Amino acid sequence: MLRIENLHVSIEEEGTRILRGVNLEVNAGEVHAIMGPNGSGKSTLAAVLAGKAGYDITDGTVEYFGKDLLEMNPDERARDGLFLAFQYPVELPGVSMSNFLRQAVNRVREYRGQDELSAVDFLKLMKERAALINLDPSLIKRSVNEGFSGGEKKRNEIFQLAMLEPRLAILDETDSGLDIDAMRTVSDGVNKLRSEERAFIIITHYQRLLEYVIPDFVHVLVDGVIVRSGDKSLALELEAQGYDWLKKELAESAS
Amino acid sequence: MPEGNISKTTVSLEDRILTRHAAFMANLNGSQPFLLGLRSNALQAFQSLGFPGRKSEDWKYTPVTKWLDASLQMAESHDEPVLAVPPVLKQDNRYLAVSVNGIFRADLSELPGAEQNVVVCSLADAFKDHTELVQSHIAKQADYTSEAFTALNTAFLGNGLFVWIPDGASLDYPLYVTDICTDPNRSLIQPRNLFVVGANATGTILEWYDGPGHPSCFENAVTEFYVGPSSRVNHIYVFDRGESADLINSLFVYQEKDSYFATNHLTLSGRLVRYNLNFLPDGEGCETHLLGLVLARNEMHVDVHTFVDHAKPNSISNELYKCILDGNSVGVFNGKIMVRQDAQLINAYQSNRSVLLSDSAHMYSKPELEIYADDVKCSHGATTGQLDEEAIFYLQSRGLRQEEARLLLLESFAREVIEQVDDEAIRAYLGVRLRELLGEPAVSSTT
Repeated sequence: MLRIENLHVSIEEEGTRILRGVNLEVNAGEVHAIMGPNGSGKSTLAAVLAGKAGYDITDGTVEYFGKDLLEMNPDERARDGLFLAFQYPVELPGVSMSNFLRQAVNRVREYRGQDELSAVDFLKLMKERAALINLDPSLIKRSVNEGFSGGEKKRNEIFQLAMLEPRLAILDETDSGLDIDAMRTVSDGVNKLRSEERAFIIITHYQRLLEYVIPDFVHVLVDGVIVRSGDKSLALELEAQGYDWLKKELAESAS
Repeated sequence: MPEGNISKTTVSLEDRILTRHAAFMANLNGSQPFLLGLRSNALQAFQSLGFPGRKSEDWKYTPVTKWLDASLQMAESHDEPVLAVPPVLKQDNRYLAVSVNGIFRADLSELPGAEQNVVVCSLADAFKDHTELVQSHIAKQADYTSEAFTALNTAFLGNGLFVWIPDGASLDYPLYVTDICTDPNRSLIQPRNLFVVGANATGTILEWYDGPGHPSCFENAVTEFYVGPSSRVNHIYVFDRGESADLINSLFVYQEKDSYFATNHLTLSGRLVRYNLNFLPDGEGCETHLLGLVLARNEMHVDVHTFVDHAKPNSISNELYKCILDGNSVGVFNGKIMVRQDAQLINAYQSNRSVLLSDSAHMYSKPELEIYADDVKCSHGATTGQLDEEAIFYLQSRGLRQEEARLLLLESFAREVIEQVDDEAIRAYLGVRLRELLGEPAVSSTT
């Protein structure tokens, strides 16, 4: 589904190198966790995959279902089934949830060769998916993310994921700022959305979320490179020993 | 003249105005001395004021003489309008007052029946039939001694529109007011409206000026509202005459105690558009709402000057103007709020928010608060910015194309004003029209 090879990324204009040769392969049905300390490049990776402006791709390739992902517009990527749950969801005052989501869902459906949903069917789908992830139905009647609490915003991202039914979902620190109850409901939602056809990349700083959403693979990103990959036990090891342990080990093996 | 910098073209326009005025006065056989006196006083005021120049603080960002070109004629044509009533005004459940080139035409109008106890007629008839009432209200709020365009309008006062909703009466349907510009030349037309709303009366007035035939008129309109005690008036004003029409619109609203006045100005096209919106809540318990949306593109220049003069205590005013500026357009907002010394317990809010869609569009925003009472709540805020790139990316990441994302954000920005238009048919029409205008690619310059 997704093949990242030797990806090098700098911040546009200032030139700071963030990613320094990332390699990653993700197949349908898999859940990959990407962990790493602050500033290691996790969110940059998510942003580059979603097509955010402001980055220079200085080397490497990203293939998505055989296509060059980096050549596609952000909206084209979204219509083709790539979804990013934002770390900091944007508030859109005056943009109603239903108006926005109806356009989004219909754009994706159009791309897939499906008919537009009628107003009635769309409303039904919204109610069903809101219930799936325990989203307060009154939020659907409001402006997108406006005045939402931190937890509500994160839940809203997962709700949108459920509405758009992507093939590849990237969750950028969806767990940050969530209390334990909110984390559980968000995780339940993600687990319900796991399927054979759908892959997840879960970016997180802590191991906590991975207790609820069990990953197939765990990768550790340090200074823009994936320094270690393993199964879920790697996450536990990191939790116990911290990132310093891994950094120290790396320094030793390098010398 | 006090302004020393009037250009030759405007002097010649002024000459034309004077010549025309002499003829106008000579033809007024049988007019009352009141009206003759008013016109000649106003003309004198106009002569001594002259058109405002660059040094006039009120016109700082709007050098109005630029639009008063040599080709401007005094309106002559009295042709039948080719395109009669704008289609959007063909609604059920409404009354219609039509003017042609600023002259009220009862024959083209659809007016309330006698059982409504509401008077809609030409000002000329009103001077004859309701002499005292008209004389006690006309040119009372619209001070012609200090403002040249109001003086110019008053100097030619005669054939405008008069609406009277007497004490206790209420208009059961909105009154749509429109003016059809038929003069093919670039002409000066000067609509004049007087609305007298008695005590405990209600009404919705919707002024609609669109542009079939793309008129190139220069409109200098003056409207006065007297709002009696405990009355409620909803006022909606839509200007969409196209890219060669100029407008100066001066609105004067006088409110008695416990009255409510809400106005919503929607400016969708035009070349020069200048609003002088004046509100005097002169009794306790008044409520005043001023909303506006400006959509300016290409070379359009829109200047909104508002003045809320809180003369008495215990009143509320709420002001929101939003501008979307594209191309080389220029927006000006000057919002003055005065709270007089004895006007305690005033709540006055003002907000001006603008979005610039191009690097060459400009917005000048200036709040002006003068507060002489000590127990008041006043706030003002002005923001000007571009569309939020983060928001566009967020929408794109959900599958919307960049243009769709942009349109959705702009529509949402505008909706805050449009959804408060108190007329369902017009609200729906504005939604469609706005989408059409925002969806069109902007033209870099007009030819």
